[in-house]
Amino acid sequence: METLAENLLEELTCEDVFTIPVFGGIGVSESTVMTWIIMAVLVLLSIWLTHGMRVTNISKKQAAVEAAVTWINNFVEDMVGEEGKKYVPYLVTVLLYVATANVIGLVGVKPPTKDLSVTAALALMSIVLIEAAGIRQRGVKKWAKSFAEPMAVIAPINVMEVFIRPLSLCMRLFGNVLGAFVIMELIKMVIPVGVPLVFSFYFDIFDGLIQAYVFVFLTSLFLKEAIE
Amino acid sequence: MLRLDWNILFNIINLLILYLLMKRFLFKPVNEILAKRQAEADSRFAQADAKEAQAKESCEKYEALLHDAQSEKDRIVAEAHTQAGKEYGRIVDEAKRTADGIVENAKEDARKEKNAMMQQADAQIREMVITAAAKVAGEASGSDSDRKLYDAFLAAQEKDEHETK
Repeated sequence: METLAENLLEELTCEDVFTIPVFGGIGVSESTVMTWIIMAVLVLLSIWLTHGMRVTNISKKQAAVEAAVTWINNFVEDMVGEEGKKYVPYLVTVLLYVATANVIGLVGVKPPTKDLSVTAALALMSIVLIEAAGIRQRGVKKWAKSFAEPMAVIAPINVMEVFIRPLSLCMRLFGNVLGAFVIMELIKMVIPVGVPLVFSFYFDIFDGLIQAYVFVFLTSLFLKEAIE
Repeated sequence: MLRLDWNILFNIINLLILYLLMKRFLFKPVNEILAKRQAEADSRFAQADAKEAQAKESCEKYEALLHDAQSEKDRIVAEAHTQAGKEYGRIVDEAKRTADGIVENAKEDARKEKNAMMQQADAQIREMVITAAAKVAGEASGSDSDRKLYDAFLAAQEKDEHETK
């Protein structure tokens, strides 16, 4: 039992892969390194997929890429609205990154979204994007005034939302992935054969993709609200 | 697991880099291709429209030409008709005039002939009368009865002449 707890803890902690020897040593965590790997995979995949694209007489690969990119763009655009069109590439990038990060547990590595610093970074980016988009769309004055809408009384709640939204985004993603990861680790320790496969479908693939969708969906929703 | 440190900054930078890279290597090429295809499709549609318009125009032109030809034909036929009618009238008139002339000539000839015949007959009668008179004179009968006979004969001759006229 003790070894199980020890193993679990070992799986849960994000260790520093290496330390940058400045300011008394900055630890670069596993999740950051995993993110680099995911980035490399996504970028290389993109380069391979978009390589040699033609206007006419297209290959099956190109047709698939075009269909997929168009579909996912429309999907996100439907959520964020016509005015938020220019934020679609960022949202799609986040969607692809979070989805990849969530399901990467399938290949036996620790999902980076299990690390709070990754989800915190994502949530921070989201709230910065949302507020920046709001300021850009309305101007500073109107943006500031929008906190007093629909009435001045709820202004404190609106201000609080600026902090609550990213916190909830961050914690939802982190909690879901961490929970799924812990359950999967427990199942793997108890019955290492067969059973984890079945649960993996739910916890790694289904939940992972759902959480990626939820994260982008909520960000889009807030973004749409901010620029309307 | 629950640490918040420099790695947040690293991850933000990672995300920004990933965003730029994805934009450059995934969205840009795909959107470019889609835009190009759209442009090509648009230009093809425009070309097709232009060609259709052109075809319509030439069709209309030919139809107008055909119509013109029809009316030209009608005009020529009508002209020919009037021309032919005129010609016909002219020929008929001429024929009539010729015929009239011929008839007139024939009448004139007949009249001349008749006159000639009359004159001839007159002369013959005169001769006959003279002969008859001579014969009567030769027999030497009474002059009164002779004169009476002569007058009666002349009267009968004149009456005859009136009737034949």
